[in-house]
Amino acid sequence: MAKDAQIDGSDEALLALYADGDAQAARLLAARLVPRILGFATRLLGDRVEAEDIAQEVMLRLWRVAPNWRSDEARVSTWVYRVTSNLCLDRLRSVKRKRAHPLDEVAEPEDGAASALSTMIEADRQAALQMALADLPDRQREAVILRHIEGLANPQIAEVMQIGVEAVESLTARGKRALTAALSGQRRELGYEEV
Amino acid sequence: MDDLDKLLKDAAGITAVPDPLMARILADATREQPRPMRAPAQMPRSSIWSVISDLFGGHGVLAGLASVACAGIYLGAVQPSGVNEMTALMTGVLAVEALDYMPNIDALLAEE
Repeated sequence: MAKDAQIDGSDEALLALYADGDAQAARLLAARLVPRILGFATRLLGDRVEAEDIAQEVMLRLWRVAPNWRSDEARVSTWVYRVTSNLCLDRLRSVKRKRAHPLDEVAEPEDGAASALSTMIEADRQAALQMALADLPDRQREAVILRHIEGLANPQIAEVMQIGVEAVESLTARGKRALTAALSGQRRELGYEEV
Repeated sequence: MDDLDKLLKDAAGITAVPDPLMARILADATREQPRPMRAPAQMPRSSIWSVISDLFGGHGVLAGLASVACAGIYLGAVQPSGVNEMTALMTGVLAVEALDYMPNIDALLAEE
């Protein structure tokens, strides 16, 4: 019973169970974390294939660090976002990103009830957002994604990015201003004028 | 731009994870998972006899020592005449010429 309670519990509890040899804990933890890592990495890199590589690498590092995990040091989610961020920024620094790819690689909306037209409009909007994000400086893009897409609180973003909370607020504010400027010229094309 | 907030919120949908990627990640998890620790085999408790035996080099050596000790006690208690003569000879009390090597041979020869 105690084990069931732990399985329904925190990421840290699941990681401890995994380290104790519980295979089910690994599945539950992966189901929780991988979608977030993949979404975050995809938006940071603008490349789904590379994001999948990053997601696998991040989880591999998590499995390896599990036996030595100290729950009083950091939250698993914070650690995962930080490692994802570092790996993505390393790739961005080593490879000059091509701006043509993101448009093709934005995931299709999953709402089957939406009409074909609204689906296309939504896809266009998300593609435009991805392109505007890609044009932001790396740290601004990371802060905006963590705050407004991943929904992290500023203190947790500060831990992930290893900067102060005020710096996070500054980065997200500048990032949003830049996104607004980038998208404002496309309002008509993205269907906002008709709404 | 309020539309930007909506756009960002819409982008926050759950990302679908391809099955092959999840399979690779779970395979990594299985490969890297620490094996459960087994309780170490309990060491047999060592008795006082095994400690003494080990001290003298094993059961065989200890048995030999016990045999020699018993033989010494027996010889000391019974004091056979042959042993006494041997002791006297070794200490110089008895001359070699006076030693009777076959003390009962005369009686044997007389019967014949």
